Amino acid sequence: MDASTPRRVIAVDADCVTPGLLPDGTIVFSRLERVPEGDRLIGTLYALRAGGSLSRISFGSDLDLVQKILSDGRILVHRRSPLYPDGIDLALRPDGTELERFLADTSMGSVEASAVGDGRIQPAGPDGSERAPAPSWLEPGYHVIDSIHVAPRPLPPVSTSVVKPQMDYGWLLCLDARLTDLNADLGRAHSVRVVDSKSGKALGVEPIARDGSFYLKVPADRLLRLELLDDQGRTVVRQRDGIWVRPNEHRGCEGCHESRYLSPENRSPLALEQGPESVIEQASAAPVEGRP
Amino acid sequence: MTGRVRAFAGAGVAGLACLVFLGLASYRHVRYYTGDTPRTYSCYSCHVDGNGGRLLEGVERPTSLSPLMLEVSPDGRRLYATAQDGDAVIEVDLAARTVTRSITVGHRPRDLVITGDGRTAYVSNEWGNSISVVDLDAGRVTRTIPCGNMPSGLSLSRDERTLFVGDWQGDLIQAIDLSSGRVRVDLAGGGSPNELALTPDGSLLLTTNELSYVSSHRGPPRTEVTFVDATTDRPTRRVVFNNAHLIEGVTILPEGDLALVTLVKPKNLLPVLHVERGWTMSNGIGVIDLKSGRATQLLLDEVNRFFADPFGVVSTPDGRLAFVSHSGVDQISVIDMAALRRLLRGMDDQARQQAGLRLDLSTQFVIKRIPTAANPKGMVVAPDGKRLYVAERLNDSILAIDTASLEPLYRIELQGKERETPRRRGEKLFNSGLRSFQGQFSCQSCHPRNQTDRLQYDFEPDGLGLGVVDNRSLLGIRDTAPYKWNGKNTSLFMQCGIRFSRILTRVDSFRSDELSDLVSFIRSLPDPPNPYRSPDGKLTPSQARGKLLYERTRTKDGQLIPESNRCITCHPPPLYTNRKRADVGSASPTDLVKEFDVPHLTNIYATAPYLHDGKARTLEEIWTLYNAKDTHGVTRDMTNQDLNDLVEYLKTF
Repeated sequence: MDASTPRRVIAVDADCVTPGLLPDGTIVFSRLERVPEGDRLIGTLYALRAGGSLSRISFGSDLDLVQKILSDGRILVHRRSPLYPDGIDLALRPDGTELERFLADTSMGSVEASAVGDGRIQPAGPDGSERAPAPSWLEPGYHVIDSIHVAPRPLPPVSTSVVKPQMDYGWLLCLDARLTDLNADLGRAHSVRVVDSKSGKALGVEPIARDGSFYLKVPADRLLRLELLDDQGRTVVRQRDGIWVRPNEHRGCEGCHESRYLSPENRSPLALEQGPESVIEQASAAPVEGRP
Repeated sequence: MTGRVRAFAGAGVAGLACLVFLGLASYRHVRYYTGDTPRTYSCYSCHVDGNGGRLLEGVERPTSLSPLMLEVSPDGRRLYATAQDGDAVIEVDLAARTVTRSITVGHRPRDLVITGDGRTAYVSNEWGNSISVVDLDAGRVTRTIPCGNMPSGLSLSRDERTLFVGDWQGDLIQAIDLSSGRVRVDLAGGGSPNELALTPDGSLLLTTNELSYVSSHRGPPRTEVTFVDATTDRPTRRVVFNNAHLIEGVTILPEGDLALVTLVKPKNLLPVLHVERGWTMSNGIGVIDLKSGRATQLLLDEVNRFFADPFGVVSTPDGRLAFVSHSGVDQISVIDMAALRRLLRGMDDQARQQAGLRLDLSTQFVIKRIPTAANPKGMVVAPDGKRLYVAERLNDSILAIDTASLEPLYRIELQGKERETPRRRGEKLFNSGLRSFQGQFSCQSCHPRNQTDRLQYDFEPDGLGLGVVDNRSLLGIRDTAPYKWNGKNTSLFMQCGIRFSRILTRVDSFRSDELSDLVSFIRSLPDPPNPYRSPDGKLTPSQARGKLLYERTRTKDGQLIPESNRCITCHPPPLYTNRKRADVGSASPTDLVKEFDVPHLTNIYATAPYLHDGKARTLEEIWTLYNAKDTHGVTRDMTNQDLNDLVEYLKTF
């Protein structure tokens, strides 16, 4: 950064692109790899700590590219996948926890984005189209192709980490699986099935508490898909993309495809009264019918 | 010889360098810890008893004023600010933008109101338990009216014959007859009545309450805004905000149809898993329809940015704009009232129910965020509506904002920036939400007025749903290590250090110098005056009987009480804790341990609920409900009168 001689910081046996520098000196980047299935390019996120240790922080099977380091210390990631051919923006912490859809101040869909001024994200849409309405802090009728830094950015904070690499599991707490903005009747949901996305095997099925909550102990660093089942074991709704937890991460969500603009309601989830149901021990179950 | 001379010279230079180095180091050390230029301090000044922190408090001279609430004279020419740490009301000439007078009032002034002729101000003295009547022409206090415990907000009746006072500690709203100086009536408030506002026609008084009712164990926080008929002194309605508390500021719009209050929505019933998307706290306003009493909660937060600790709310005289100060993130939110009214009109009942959870609504009615200096609190709009003045409490300044351009115009410094002590720096950290992820909350958010929010929290590292603990007041904790209910933190440094950031704030922890400042502030917190202690130190007959029970060694039938089960064994004065852990049979199945830190009992009158998980709503319940086997002292032989006496004595601690 001081314009002295460039030096190699790590050797990786694949193309590494879109680096981002975190305030604690960690470099995050995407490692590209072409996979035979569908001849697709996937990008996996890695973090190279200042001390030299390299760790994988994403566990999906999509093309994930680092876009920016957000003013709150998270990483903004642009994802392209068969499910999202136009791409979506995600945010996650530098330790790979808390992956979620990145939301700007208004619903902007997928945008190229740049941190400006006070460190907030300015969208750069092709025009003022419906997919990229102007957030309130921009002048109406804005038209931007690409945004640039117009003022020094405040240094983002350093994220603390809950990850304990020596553990091989984490937890999922859903406050109300029936809470959704999907056009689906989740009132019939009776239990939740956890599926290993890579192998297609069901790891376990656990009932949902009366208030819709469930609390699961799940294997860490694996792409998982959740399915809601009715009382006959039939699928009510199936998660199309995946989710992972890092070792020792407690992952919380309000519902299944609930509005991402909602903060959670303040109530004690019933599922916590019984403690976490482990799906790890059930991992030898057979593949789910109709799934890879 | 030459070699010897060189050796001497070398040693001399080295010695001189050492002296210079030590001198500079000690200068910086003293400068850092006292905030002052070293003049009279020696090592001995601070370290005579090996406890630098304690003596430091003697060395530090508090010089801050800490302006809290503001008023402008009816002619718009003078501004008055209560100086919380200066025990004064500061007068500012707005044309000259200078401080013209400092009028000494009672201890820790909080709110003030000015009569219509601009000649008299009434000032509530939070720690003086009194109202100062100030002659603004003469610039002095002409009369002091005693009132309840920790008077907070004030409002004058329309005929200016009655002063309404929020009695914070007594949970009362007092109506004081100003001609006699006597409390005419005590009205039951909610939890810690706070700010007051009167409708333009003078008929209705609204009082916010800072704290939730002490509810059933692990019940949701419920906090009321109390309606009082100002002509008959009768409470007429209690508007309850579910899952909200810290209702601080209130303003009634000039149209007289709506009131706005500030509020915080804690998520204490959820485990503290993460901070994203308001999982720990969110911040907003309540809109009350004064006719129907219908209340709607709206967040001022955004999806990626939070606005911690909303405090004051005021509107322009034409009702076009409202302003909310966010004391945790040093911002003012500007609300377009027409947009807010439009939004509310478009909501059905279900939408109103959900509005308090939505992070995408504020962009529809908040038209600007205006940055301020540290800890913006009280605000006032000039009578002509052209200027908004903001008390920047921890910057000792007043910010003037143009209400047309919504741009800051100028800042009035209330005193020179002579020095900033560690305690002051620590106070800033304590009150700053900027040290939590996306500005969601500050230390103050859970410890309002450095005390407790009366809520229980479920922290993730213990396992979700396990080890739920009651929040604890910070008053009097200085020498009561270890900390935490499990007694694992041996010092305040540990309590507020790395683990704190990993569990709560989720961003980088305080640097060691910051941590030192924060601890310095927490250690310096003085106790408020205890209303249960008589000024002469004598105990009432009931308290005296309670003292005997507290110190007793035998039951009423003469049985010896084991030493380990006597009150005074675990709670010996002066701190009323032996600083050990004990199993008093209070553990529940979701607790991971049975032994808990023996809490100090100083200020216990103000720290309900009780026991490690807050399941005892009152001091009485500790023994009437949760001591069936005499595992928490021997109390089964006590009569109701005995227990009342014991409780009366405990409240004097």
